[in-house]
Amino acid sequence: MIDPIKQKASLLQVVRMVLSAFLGIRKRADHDQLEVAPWQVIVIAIIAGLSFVLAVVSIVRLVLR
Amino acid sequence: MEAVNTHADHGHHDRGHDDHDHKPTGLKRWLMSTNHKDIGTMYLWFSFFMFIVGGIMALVIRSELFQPGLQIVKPEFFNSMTTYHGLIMVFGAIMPAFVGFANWLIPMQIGAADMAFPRMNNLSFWLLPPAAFLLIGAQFAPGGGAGVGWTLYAPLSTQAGPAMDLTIFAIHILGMSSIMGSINIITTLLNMRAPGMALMKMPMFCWTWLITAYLLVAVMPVLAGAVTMTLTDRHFGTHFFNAAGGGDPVLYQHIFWFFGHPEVYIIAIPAFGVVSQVIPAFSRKPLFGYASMVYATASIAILSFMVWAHHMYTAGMPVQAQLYFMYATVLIAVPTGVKVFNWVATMWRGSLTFETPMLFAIGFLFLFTLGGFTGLVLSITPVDVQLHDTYYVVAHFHYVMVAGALFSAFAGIYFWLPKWTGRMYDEKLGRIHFWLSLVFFNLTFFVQHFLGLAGMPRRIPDYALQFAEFNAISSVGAFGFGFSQLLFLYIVIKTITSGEKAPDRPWEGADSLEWTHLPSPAPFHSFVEPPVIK
Repeated sequence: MIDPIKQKASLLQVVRMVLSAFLGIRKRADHDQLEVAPWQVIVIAIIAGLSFVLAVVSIVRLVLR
Repeated sequence: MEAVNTHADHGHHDRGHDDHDHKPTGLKRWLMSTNHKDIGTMYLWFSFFMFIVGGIMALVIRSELFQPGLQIVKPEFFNSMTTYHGLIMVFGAIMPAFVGFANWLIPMQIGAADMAFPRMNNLSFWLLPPAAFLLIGAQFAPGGGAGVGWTLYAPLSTQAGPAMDLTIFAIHILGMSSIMGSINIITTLLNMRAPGMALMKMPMFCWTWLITAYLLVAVMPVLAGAVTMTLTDRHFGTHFFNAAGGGDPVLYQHIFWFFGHPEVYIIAIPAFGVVSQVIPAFSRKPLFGYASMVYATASIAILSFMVWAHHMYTAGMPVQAQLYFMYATVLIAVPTGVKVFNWVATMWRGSLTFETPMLFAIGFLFLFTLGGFTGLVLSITPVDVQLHDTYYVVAHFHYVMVAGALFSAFAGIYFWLPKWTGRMYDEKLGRIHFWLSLVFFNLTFFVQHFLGLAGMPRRIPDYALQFAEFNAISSVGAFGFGFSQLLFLYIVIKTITSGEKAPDRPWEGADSLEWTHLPSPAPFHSFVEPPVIK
């Protein structure tokens, strides 16, 4: 198999990657075409994790208002 | 040594030489082993031994509960049985079983010669017997075993007898063993993959263990901290969990469950990995949505840190926190649902056959999903307030732990036994083992849902008369389940001593390296020169 030349992932693509991980749905093809550094995923995942918590907390606030 | 196999093993043209070279014999082979296969074998036998010990404790519990009233044991001893049954099954049976799988399979599946730190691997295993000795020995401490429940909640745990100290020390040792094992697994997976074995080409089992190992490294120190604080509260005048001294017993619950909820996934995720190997092999199709599975597993691991307090809705929490943990818990069901969907989609229109490993994998899928659903029921705060500490919870987590983790371990053992021993198990007996386990498991635990809904509390040796019928059924089921496992032991021994010779690749759908590149049994040293993966 010839290795396809991988593109470096943009910030938006990494964000999409992490968000699709939260849902648990991801196409393998998406992964194969992109080159992602581990630190990118880790940083974005921490931010996404925090935003997830904050989002749930704000929903709770909305419900209890 | 059997005849030289024609199946080419790259770099292993004279396998006879490899098999005899450097293979220590006698007790030394096991005591000083640095071989991932031998250590894996020891882990698996150790966990089976602990499974029997924990199982006997379960049967003591079920014997006492066969009828209302106190017949067989004293309440203190009963409490000690519920405590050590839980601790031994979680830390002594299920976790070491999957570490055994990891040791056996990870190097073979990624084309490595051994684990990254073979001596540390030896230490990881040999820490377990002393811990087991402490857990079992705690029964004989003055005042008997600590009847505090496997969660070791304060203030019971700060007031319990000397058995509690033995238990705390056992937990420390088990934690050290787990952390060392995890460091080994992470290093092996990140650094020792054969050329061409990209992360996203690893078999799913390796992925699940990579994620599990990170979880273990993250939360075992938290548990160690919790039990150390218990220890200092008991002996060194601190008041972490003592309200009279300004502490808070609920703090213990928070710390424990910050460990405890990821722990559930530490047990479940390697089980997912085993099932993700078995189902594609017997469906003769690649795993549906491999990348999705990897991502879903990672996301389950991350989310597992954010839901811990759903175990303590009744401990006293502001309504904001209750709502937060309820919402977050419901959301964690989404990636788990994706995984179940993917397993079903893997089977969809595959050429299915139903050998024993596949039967256990399907049993896992069906019953684990049921256990997941009762988990969702319990995640709803107002429902949980009714069901907390009832047999509904006991039924729920036994569906996850027994039908989830244990069934998947059985699936894995039947699946890889031909590779490990070079011999086939008795298919007919294997199927009988499955059906007996399935029927008796449900007989034991399905009725416990009804008991819980009717309000029977857990961890009690005596109960009101209206619970008598279902308890009798459950006890009969438990003895049936226990004795069925003796059949399993017989099957494994029969395989090792007189099983038919297994081909190198007995399952035509199995496609990871241990099947395609290595003979059965796998040689003592495999992949001394790494294979090249295209």
